[in-house]
Order: sequence, then C-alpha cells, then structure tokens
Amino acid sequence: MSDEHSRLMGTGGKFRDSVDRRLADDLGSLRSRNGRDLPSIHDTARAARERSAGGIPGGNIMSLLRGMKARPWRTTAAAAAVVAAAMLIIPVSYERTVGHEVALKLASPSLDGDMIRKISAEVMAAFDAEGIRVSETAPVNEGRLEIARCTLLADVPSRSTERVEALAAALARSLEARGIGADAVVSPKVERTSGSVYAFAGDVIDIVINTEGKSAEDIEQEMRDRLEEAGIYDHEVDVELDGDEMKVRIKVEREGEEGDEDGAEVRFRFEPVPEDAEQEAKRIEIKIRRTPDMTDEDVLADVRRQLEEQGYFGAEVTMENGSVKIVHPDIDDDM
Amino acid sequence: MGSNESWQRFMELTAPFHDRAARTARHLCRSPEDGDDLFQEALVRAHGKLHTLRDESRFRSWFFAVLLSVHRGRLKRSFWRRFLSLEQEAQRGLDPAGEDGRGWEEERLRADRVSRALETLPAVQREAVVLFELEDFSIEEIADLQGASIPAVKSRLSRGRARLRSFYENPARAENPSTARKRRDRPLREGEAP
Repeated sequence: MSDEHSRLMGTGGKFRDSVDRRLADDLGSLRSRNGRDLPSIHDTARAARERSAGGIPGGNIMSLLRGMKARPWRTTAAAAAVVAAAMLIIPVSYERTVGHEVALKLASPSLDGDMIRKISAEVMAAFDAEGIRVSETAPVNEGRLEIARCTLLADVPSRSTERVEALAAALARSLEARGIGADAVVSPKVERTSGSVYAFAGDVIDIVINTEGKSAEDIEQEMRDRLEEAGIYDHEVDVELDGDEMKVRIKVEREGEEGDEDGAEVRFRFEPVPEDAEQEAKRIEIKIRRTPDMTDEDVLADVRRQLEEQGYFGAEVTMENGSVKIVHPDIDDDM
Repeated sequence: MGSNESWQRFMELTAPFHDRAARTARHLCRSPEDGDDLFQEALVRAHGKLHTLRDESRFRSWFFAVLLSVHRGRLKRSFWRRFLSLEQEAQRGLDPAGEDGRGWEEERLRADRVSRALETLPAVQREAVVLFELEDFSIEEIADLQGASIPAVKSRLSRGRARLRSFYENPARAENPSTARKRRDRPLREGEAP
C-alpha cells in the first residue's frame, strides 16, 4: 500500500504535518465515542423487530410521534395536504377590484353644456367607460369672472389602477392645456366576495389568437394587446415563426392588486382564422382626402400610416396611373 | 420460516460483526443516536431482502453494502432532517462527563469536530474514509462494498482526506458550500490546493 493510502490512525506517529496529527487524534476520539455504549445485539434485535412489525411500544400515539420524528418530511407533507384540502373546501373572504370610478372635476369660465358633452365623449372614449354622470356645482366668482364648475363621474371597467390613473392624469393635462381646469381622482370599485381558494385561483383569462397569415410581429403585437386588455401590462412576448412551426415565449408578471389578479392564470390558444372570418379580417378601410398641396408621396405615406394602424406592416405602397397599389401578403386588392 | 425464526437466524448471521456495523453506522452520522437509527433501518432493510442473498458466506459484505445504501438514501432526505437540529444540539450537550470530566469533554469536542468535517464529504468519500480509517477495512473490501474499482476507492480516499484537511485548515470555508462553489468557479491561485 502506498503512503498516500496508509491509514492516518495507527501509523505510529508518522504524520505529514500537524493537520494530519489533529485529524488522526479527532478520528481516534470519534472512534472512542462511537464505540461506547453500543446497543447490545439483543436490544438491536428487539428494536429492529418492533420497527419491522410497526409495533412500537407506547401504543398508537407514541408510534405516530416516533414516526413523525423519524420521517419529519411525512409530517410536513401531511400537514400541508390537510391545509391545502381545507383551503379548497372552506370558503374564504377576499376583495377584488371590479373596475374604477374616475371623478374629473372641471372648472372654466367657458364651461357650458356643449363643452361638457364634448369632454364627456372624450372621457368615454379614453376609458372605454360604461357610463358617465355629470354633477354640476355652483359657480364661483373670481373677481368679475364667473367660473363654472362640474364633476364628471365615469364608470371604468379596467381593473388596473395604474393604467386608469395614468390615463386620467393624461386627460387632465390635455384639458389644462386647453385652458380648462381639471383634476382627476381615481377610486377603485371593490367588491367583497367569498369562495374557496380553488374558485379564487380559477380566475382564468382565456385568450384566443388567430394566427392565419400573420407575421411573428403581428402575433406578438396581438398577444400584447390582448394581455393589456386583460389588465396585464408587465409582459414580455416573443414569437418566432419557422415554416409551419411557431415558437412562443411569454413572461407575464401580474400586478399585485390585492384580491384581484394574484390567483389568475392566462391561457393562450392559437388557431387559424376560419375562411369567412379571414375575409372579415382582411377588410381594411383607408380614407384619403387629398388636398391640392399634397404630393403623391404624401398620399402614399398616409396610406402606409393607415395600413400600419390596422396592423399591416411592411406593405409596398406605390402610385400607378393615379391609383394606389398596395402589395402585402394579406392584401391583394388594387385601390 | 416464521418471523421469529427468520429474525433469529438473521441476528445470528449479524452477531459476528454487530458491534463493527453499529459503530460504522454511528461514524457515518452526525450523532450516535442518528447512527443507531441508521443501523436499525439497515437491519430491517437487510432482513426484508435476505431472500435475495444466495451465498450466506457473503453475508457480512452484503450487509455492509445494504448499510451504505440506506445511508445514501437517508442523505437524500437530509433536507427534512434539518428541522431536528435543535433536538440534536440538545442531545449533544447531554454527553456524560465521566470521571475525568475534562478528558471526556475534550473527546466530545474532538469527535464533534471530525463529525462535522466528515459531514462535508460526499457520501462515497465519507464511506471510504470511515471504513478505511475507522473500521480498518482494506481497500479491496471497500471496493467490494461500494461496488467500485480499487482505483476509484483510492481516489475517494485521497480526495476525502484532502477535503478533511481543508476543513481543518479553514472550517468556515469548508462548511459553507456557496463559498466553496465560488472558489471552485474561479481559477486557482498560484500555490493554491485544488
């Protein structure tokens, strides 16, 4: 046996260095400690037989306790299973945000019925609001100027507070820029409900994407749009098309609005567009109002812009004999 | 053969090396109590598998191979066993003081230190070191028990000892795997042991 494999213990003091000596001394102590009070063969046989038969002295409770000690993971797993089962069955109460109310306080000397109707229409369009109420407040006088005041209350279906607040702030800034005093206050509409955790977690958002004839960018964009419609703004979507194969990578982080979206699951389903629906999908509308100062290039640029607005990117747009020709994989009509 | 007879026969086969096997089980574990538990588990496992042993003359090496197998199986459960550490700490403090309390305390501290060092070794290295250094098995016997080649056992012993030395030179680094991993990921400095 080479020196390398000679035993550290019992080498008659031939140690390489002090570390080896300490190690050998410690191994000697371990051997000594572990050799003391060894169970007798009779004790070992009895304990092993009892263990094998499951008949541990002390009855069922002791047996259970010893089993918990010997296999703590089973205890943890069993407790977790009981809690999980209880959570699925026992109703829990939680709050969920079902929408928002936007209060837009307006103040302007020129605030009249027409202006209120116009701003209401803007609010409805900006928030996709389900309804709007107007609450007029008595005017105030500032010097010789009478300032009319009112509050528009819009019911907004979006569940994302962050998005609604951003839109409200943008709208208020836009009105201020037009000389109308505006102050927006957003309040979430919360409903308290109760149900099992299973029901809570079952908040599934199903998103169907038609992929027929669409580029990877189109599909990506549609997925982003649909995620945002569902109130998910923190997302990463990456689509790759390789022949007939489509690879999709999605990373979604839902905003943690209490009781709202934490338990939700997003499912995407991709399917080709049915034949009639495809025709519908290809119907595009482009309106050009050519003014005398517009050149052909201006017209073509306007067409490209409108195409892109409708999701047709990379189209080849040219002017031939006074007509606009559009070449795009999804469009084959001359205009 | 009834259960009593089969156990009686099994313990007769075990008797010649009972103490050695019980000690080996303790060496492989952090505490004697854990070692006794491992030994019992190995006995139950071996008793249940005894019918698979064709040559009773190989019973000793077969039993030790079962013991090592049970030991590795328990290491996979070690995550759950961490929750018992408080109890083990308490038990460690209850070692008998003996007539020469100082000597016993020193022995306890030394045994505890090398136990901690052995715990840092991968299972196969720990087994090789324990069997060779503490239970005087030959390299050929260890190769048979571990189902490994002789060069593999020599390598396990060599690497196991190097790690033990490393523990003794710097216990904090040896006990902290993340530090060890960072060290492994960077190039070795001149003169530094791998």
